[in-house]
Amino acid sequence: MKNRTLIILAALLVAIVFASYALSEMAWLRRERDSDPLRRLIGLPSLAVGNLSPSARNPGFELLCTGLYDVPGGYCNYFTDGVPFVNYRSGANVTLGEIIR
Amino acid sequence: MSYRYRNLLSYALNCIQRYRTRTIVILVCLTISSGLFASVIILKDGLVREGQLSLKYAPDITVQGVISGRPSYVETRITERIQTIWGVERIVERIWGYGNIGNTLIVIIGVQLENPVTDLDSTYPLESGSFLSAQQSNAVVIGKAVAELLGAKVGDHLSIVSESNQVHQYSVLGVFNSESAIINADTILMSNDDARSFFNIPAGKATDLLVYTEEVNPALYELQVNFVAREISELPNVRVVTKDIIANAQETTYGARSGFFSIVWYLVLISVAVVAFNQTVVVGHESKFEIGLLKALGFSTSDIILIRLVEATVLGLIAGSLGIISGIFNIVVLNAPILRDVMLGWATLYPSFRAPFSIRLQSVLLTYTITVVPVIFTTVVPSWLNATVDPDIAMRGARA
Repeated sequence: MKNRTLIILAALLVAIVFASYALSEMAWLRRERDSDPLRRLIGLPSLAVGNLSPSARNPGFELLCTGLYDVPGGYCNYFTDGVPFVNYRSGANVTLGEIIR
Repeated sequence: MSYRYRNLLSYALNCIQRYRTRTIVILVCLTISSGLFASVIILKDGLVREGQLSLKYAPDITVQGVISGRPSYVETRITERIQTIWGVERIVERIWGYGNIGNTLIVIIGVQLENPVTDLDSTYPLESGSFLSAQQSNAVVIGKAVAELLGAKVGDHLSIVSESNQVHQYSVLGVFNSESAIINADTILMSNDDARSFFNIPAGKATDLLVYTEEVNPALYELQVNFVAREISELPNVRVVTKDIIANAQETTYGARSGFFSIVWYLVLISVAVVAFNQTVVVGHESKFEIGLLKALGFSTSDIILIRLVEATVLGLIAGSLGIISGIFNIVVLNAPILRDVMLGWATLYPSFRAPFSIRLQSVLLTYTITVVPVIFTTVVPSWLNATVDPDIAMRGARA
């Protein structure tokens, strides 16, 4: 490999990294500039990382839960009629079909 | 560039190719460690930024109910008292909670459709159907994961059994799209009245109150919010959470989790530094003769250090760049396998959404710094020690 090729390779890789940074920043700036009526309407949606049973939850979320009690999607304070992490089935509590009059 | 420096650069680049084994070992080890670090930091920044985006639209103050130190419904009659506090613009009663679909938990959120915070005709991130309107009752908009779980589509009818064992029937008005899945994948949105009925929450109570303060000069914003929060906290059985507290909690949540990974990364980096040092020492025996020869030919100690410095910087830059690129690939293309579970929790079921990511300048520079500096240290120091020895002794020592 020639020395020039090595320099070009290093420069190209650095350029790809900084181009990725520029693209990511532009995408975020666009998102931050655009209005988001859904988030505004709900108030404070947590990230929808749902279905976290307490035994499996990221310890970081415990901190969030302790600090805030709960936010929609935080799954901090909920009572289930079973233990979801042992594959408990709570039966067909939801059905899809016609409205029953 | 002077002829001298061009020659030194050329010599340094030749060294990278000549000591091929050392180059490959350093490149592979550093790429793996910087790739791991970049993956964590890119995902962490994405999560923090996504949280900050939510906070941008969040109420200035959230008022929760507390009884015996435990979370409870908040009395809505206190809104009259809160409304009289200086700086309060509006208060929204929010009703929300959790429900089950089989063994999967979902979030059910009520929306104030009369006098809403934002226009209901705005563009909502829907894949199909339409958004809620004040005229329709018993209608829901569901998240992508909920729709996939039930096989539901717009126009279908959902019958959900609530905690109070009552059947509630809703028609599906709309389905959120996958782009917005990170905030609504596991969500069912309905009117506040429907949510109140579903959770059997008595009139005069709400899950929490969202307090919006009047717009003021940014310098006075914190003062105003703290004043209002202090006034509200004087009321009985309430717990007040400001936007700043939520921001700090979010930052700590993801920061603490990524901190755990950073420790693992530091251990990897130490191993890499040891490998790099070992390689330099092994090659150093060979290069000791070379350095002696160079010095005999008139190269100064600073020239030799400069050669090694260029060599280490180029190696570090290539490895750091490859690491960052592989980190981006891991998050963006592969959707952060393993890492996503570690950062978000080990759940049995996840709503499918793209892992959020953000490539920040400080993260890029930090990755380069912690990649290049150890290589410089482990390469330059041994060669500096060799270069300070008399050339004759160095060459004899290397031959011995």
